[in-house]
Amino acid sequence: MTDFKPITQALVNGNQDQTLSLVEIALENGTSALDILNKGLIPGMDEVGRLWMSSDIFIPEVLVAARAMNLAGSRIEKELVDTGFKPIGTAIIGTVKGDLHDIGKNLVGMMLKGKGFNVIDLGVDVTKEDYLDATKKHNANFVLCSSLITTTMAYMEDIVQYFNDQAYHDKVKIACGGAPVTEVYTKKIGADIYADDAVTLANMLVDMMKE
Amino acid sequence: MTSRERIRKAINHEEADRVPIDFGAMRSTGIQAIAYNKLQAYLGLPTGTGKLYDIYQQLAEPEMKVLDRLHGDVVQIHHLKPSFGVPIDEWKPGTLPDGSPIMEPKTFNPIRNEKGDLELIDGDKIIARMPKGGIYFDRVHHAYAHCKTKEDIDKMPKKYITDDDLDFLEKQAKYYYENTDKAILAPFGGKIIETGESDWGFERFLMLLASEPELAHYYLNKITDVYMENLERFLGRLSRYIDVIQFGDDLGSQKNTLVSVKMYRDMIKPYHKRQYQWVQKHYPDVKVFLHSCGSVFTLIPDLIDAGVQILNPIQLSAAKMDPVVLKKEFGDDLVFWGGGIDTQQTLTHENSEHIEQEVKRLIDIFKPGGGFVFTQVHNVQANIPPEKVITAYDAAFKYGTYNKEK
Repeated sequence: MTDFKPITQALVNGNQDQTLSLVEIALENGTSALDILNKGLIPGMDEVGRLWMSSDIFIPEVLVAARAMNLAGSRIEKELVDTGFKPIGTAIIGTVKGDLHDIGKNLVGMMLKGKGFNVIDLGVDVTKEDYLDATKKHNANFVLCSSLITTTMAYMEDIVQYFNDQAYHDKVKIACGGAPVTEVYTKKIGADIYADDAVTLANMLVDMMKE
Repeated sequence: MTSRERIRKAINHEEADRVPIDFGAMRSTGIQAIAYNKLQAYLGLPTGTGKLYDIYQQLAEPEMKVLDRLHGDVVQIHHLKPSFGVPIDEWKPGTLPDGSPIMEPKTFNPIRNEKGDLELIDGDKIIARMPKGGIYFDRVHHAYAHCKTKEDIDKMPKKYITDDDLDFLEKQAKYYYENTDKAILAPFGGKIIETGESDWGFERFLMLLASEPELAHYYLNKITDVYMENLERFLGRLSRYIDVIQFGDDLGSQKNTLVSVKMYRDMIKPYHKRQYQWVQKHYPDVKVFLHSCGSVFTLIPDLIDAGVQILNPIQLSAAKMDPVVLKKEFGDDLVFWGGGIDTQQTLTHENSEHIEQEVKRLIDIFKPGGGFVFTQVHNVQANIPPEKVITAYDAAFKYGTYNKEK
């Protein structure tokens, strides 16, 4: 029986080569991709989230762990699909129109992938039309809008209004985040979800999928 | 008391006649050009005369009339090419994204792409982009992105300061020194983590720090060697005129430091220290100013140890940046240049009455014993109405007075 702890630890350490080679060995030993994901990789990203929240690690360490997660995830992707694996949910993420800053948005994407979400990343400078098109196309559960600056934050209200006008807001929950965004602001513009940080947000979305 | 004397008192931890004020004396204490035009109009001044000296953040240089109205005590001098290699020694009439007029650098000619974005091209590369509907440029080209080895790094060009740049800087410094009573801030930069992020890409460089420290040190040593040569020439020409040399390196995010204290000590601090200590040793009358955004509280003892004497912008909205704690813990060692009013929440969302109260509260905290220069946290953004700016600066003037009777 495969011991998943070394995979988890290699991922937490951000050692991409070791993570990948341990995943290869596990696959050769007949371990299912689903078990590798659920018992090795996802617990690893959970631990990364915990360590980040407790200030035991910082953004550089989170980034290298997420890089290892991505590589390992790509390696087992085909096997996962073959076994009929279903992601926990689908989230559309992007930085809003007029804004090219993406580190916060990317960290959210990494934490969600680490929870087993299907993450559709629309990149930066994303229009309300692109958010809605992607939401429909992927039948998404969540739309996550990010902005760094006070001047681009205002576009989040346009996005919420557009989803309302297109009669689609009842089918999807909209989250807002980024440096200037607050819970008060999120409520004021009629969005549904706000969290102080990427880890809390990922935990909230997992809980919401269970409801 | 002259403006220059007032600043000198404050940065030497002495009380002047009032708290000195900075409006636009560096690229994070200024005003976005659209907001500047509105401010000029509100003050009954002709608009379109401002110079867009920072095309990156689209900042306008406050003209002397505006600076005096806002009680400004300090001016900055500029590099010949402050952003994206565009020189600012010649000007032409231009138009801002809101359609209002501005003077822009003569060779600033961004190209509009098929999406409607504005792009700056250098040779065959797109180096910066302002998205349609946006009001800033951001760097989109990272020159070191392809680098994997020390040999790759060796092949990259070194960025030595030019004689033209030094001439341009000295001419401004001499002019302000001889023709105004304002204190003068000189922007050096000397960025370590930010230059890394700019050269390699944000995530790539942070990962390099974590997973390839030896290569990161090799790169950082190389750029710091160049900084040290530049620094010697820079201060050799400017020290007789200036009071403050400005460095920059954003080390914080909204919630925490970007890197751990340990990583700061191992990977970044040696290169800060080399520059800052050199300035202190050779030019003790020129104060070392560091601009570093976000929550940097836990790094402050190390920053002081590295040689930082003045800290900006004191981002009040970030975690752990409590003004009372900052003044109490670090007020003896550090001059707070900023933290006069929060921009992220207060200036953006609150009314004038609230703004005046916050300015008063913060001045009361920071002003005892000197060591405080009033300015808002980072630049006034395009959507901030001029009356709010006036309210904040008039409140700083009103409540900044030192009561010598006490």
